[in-house]
Amino acid sequence: MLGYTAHLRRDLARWRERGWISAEQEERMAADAATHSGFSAGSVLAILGAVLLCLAIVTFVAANWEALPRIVRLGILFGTLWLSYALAYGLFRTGRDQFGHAMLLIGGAVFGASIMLIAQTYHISGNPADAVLLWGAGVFLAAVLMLSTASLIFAILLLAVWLVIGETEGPSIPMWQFAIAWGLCAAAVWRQNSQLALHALMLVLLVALFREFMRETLAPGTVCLFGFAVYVLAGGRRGLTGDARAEHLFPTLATYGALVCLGDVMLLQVGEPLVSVPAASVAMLAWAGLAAALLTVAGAYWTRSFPPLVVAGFAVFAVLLRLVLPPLLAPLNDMTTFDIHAGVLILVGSLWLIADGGRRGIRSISAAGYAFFMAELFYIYFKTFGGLLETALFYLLAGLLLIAMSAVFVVSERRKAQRIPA
Amino acid sequence: MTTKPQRFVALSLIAIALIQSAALAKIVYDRVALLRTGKEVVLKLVPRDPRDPFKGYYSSLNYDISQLDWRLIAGGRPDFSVGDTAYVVLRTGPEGHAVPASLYPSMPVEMAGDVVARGKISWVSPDRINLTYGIEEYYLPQMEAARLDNIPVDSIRIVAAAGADGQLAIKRLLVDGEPAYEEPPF
Repeated sequence: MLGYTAHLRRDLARWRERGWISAEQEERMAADAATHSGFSAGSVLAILGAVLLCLAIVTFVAANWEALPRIVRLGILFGTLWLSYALAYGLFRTGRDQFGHAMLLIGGAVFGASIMLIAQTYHISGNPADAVLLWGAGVFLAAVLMLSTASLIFAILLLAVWLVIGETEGPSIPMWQFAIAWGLCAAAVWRQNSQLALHALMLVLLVALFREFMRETLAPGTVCLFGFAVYVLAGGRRGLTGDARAEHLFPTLATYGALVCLGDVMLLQVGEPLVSVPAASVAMLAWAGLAAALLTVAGAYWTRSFPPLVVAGFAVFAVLLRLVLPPLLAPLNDMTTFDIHAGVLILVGSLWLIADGGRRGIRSISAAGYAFFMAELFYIYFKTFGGLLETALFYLLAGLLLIAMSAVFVVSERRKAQRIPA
Repeated sequence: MTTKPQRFVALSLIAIALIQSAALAKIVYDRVALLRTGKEVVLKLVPRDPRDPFKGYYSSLNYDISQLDWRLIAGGRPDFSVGDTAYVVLRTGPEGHAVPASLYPSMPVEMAGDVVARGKISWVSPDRINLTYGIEEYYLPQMEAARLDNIPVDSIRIVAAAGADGQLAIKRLLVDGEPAYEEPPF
């Protein structure tokens, strides 16, 4: 956020030099941006302080509970819980909202500590994942009722803990249960319109997808197709310029769509070689392809990213794809052909991301494009070249390609700049 | 972080505290009810290791009813797999502690004098079936734990309460048949 203010100051100075704004207007705009930059040292410190207090509470759990009678221990737990929320009320009432939210976070930590301490008091050694789920539900309730971003992020992180503990300590969490919990969190993120919470939500989803990837429960390519659908769905802006929430959250969502889409292909490429794709997987992928394609079409139509005729073309293509996908997937069984297809897909996809991110002014999308482009070049290099001569040739070609690309960008940027009246 | 009208802030915070307290109270209530009304059963221990970073000092308890012979399964050999619920009929043996009589995939009809314990299958091997009952951790003040560490496991018994649904809860700890550690439910 500070970066934005500094950047704006530079732009404002240039606009003043061009005579578009007066010195007084420049000052007023800069001052307004500084007060609305969203960065408040006070609130950041309050949250950090709350995190430290949470750690203190958890450490307290780890320490010994000594010889207090059960009734006293329960009294302390319930008393601390109510005290946390009473203090939060006092803080909200006196207008110190950021401290109120920090206190709410502490209340959530006290709730979690209480679950564990009650289990300790009564010697209960149940399934730890159930305890984490109950804890997360309590924190989620606080997040939703109080519209607290910090608590929401806390609840989302507990969702990840739940998933991981299920893997390490007991019966694995079924995907449908995770999907319900994740969906509830997603609705809260949308309602609270928080980009930070969206990042947490998407990272937890990546953890869950990675688990499925490792278990090979999803047909290869399914995640890629849905990533693409999300990219198109969240990427279109024309129809959404009136919706402040979509404008705020969709660029981030589109970036994750792009990451998942190309990331899945890349994982398939660098991961275990596909010896053979079972027929059931191909059938599942074909259906997933149809679903993702229809989602893409719906997204393209809803966000008005493309003219209606193109959208109709997409729809026809999606149905055709369902029919022709199985034979098209046959080359997946041949590693070299798959490598070439995947390589082309990633290179073209990353160039598209760089251009599209630039066109829309969403830097994270361009950054994802650059990252995939570089990663794929390295992959091709390690896969295909060995001797010094080939290495030289590889760098020559890659260098020429990048220079040609930069030339295209420079020309398009110059054209854009010319369109701006002096 | 959005602001809300004062009245809703108070109501929301009370609702949060109430619902969270109710969830905690439910855990306590269930446990206390089980300890007060459950049938008593004496269990023999087998030793294991003692530390958990999260919950402070505790002894990890391993019972002799934790590992059962496949032959105890009533009515042949159903396919038990990890995570399944199983019911063990316990009968008091000649040494005064409970011994497993048979194993069922669903709640059996209780005979007079028997106690049914509900467990979860934690692993299976060709000749053994391993169960956990939710009473595998025993938390103690550090001094008590240190004292207990020096007592041979063979002379320690756990008295558990068994609910009508087979759930077990630790009631007290016996050393050489004498109560060594006991807390009232409240």
